[in-house]
Amino acid sequence: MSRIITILGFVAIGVFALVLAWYGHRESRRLAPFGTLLDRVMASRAVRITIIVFWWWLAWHFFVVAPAPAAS
Amino acid sequence: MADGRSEEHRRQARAVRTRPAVAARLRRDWWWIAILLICGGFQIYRGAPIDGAFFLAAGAALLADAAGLLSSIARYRLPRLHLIVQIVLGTFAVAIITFAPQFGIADLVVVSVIGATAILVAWRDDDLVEEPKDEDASLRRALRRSAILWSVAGVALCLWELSSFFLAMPSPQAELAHPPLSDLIDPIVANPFGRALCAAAWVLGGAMLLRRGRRS
Repeated sequence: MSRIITILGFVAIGVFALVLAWYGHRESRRLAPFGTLLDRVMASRAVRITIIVFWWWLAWHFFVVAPAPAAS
Repeated sequence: MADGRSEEHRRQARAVRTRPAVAARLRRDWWWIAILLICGGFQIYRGAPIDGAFFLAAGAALLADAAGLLSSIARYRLPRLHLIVQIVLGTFAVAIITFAPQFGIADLVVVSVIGATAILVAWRDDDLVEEPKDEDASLRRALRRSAILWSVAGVALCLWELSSFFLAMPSPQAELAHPPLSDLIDPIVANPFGRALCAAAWVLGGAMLLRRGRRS
């Protein structure tokens, strides 16, 4: 049961992000689209570097570093 | 003697001019630098010191930049690659990540080269879109609303992942009951088809991010 709740939590956050993306696209005067928001915040070097480092780390984590074996 | 005094005077004048600029940069950037430093500390805590070193180095670089110590980097021009060349190189990278032995040296090289290139490109302030001076108030409100809601989604994801991480710590049974996001995505990446999709999404996502906020 805990496993399902944990997974549903991730799914709920994903659905929330999809709804935000959809609503921003549909009602851009009420909620700026994600791309417009990125255009604005990425004007700052600190934001660009932070976001790019997180993006890069995803590949490092999933493609380069082998998952640790589960502790017995 | 007079030269020495005027040099000292110039240095003091430069320091007086620079200090408010450094303070302004730190006031604007401290939150992002703190995110990188906290994340680096957490990576070290969870037993991934190399990952932690990358985040800490990025935070330290931004601190040094705010202090004006890295301004000379802007002097060097980066070569521009034609879109076709970028697409060919991106496809090549996805193919290597997909077909090379998983977690091998080829993956390490490809991800490191792409990461270093992306950081160099992201560092530059070329062709940035300027904030419009006479912006519509409703657009400002829409942007603020969007920033708040996307931040809520990001913070919620981090907190949920963190809680899963700590709840999974005691035993393999606890990890099964509270899987962190990595445990859910690893089986997808272990499959070559899933790995190809993830690698393509990663490369395309990075290319999209690097274009954001720029005119070209």
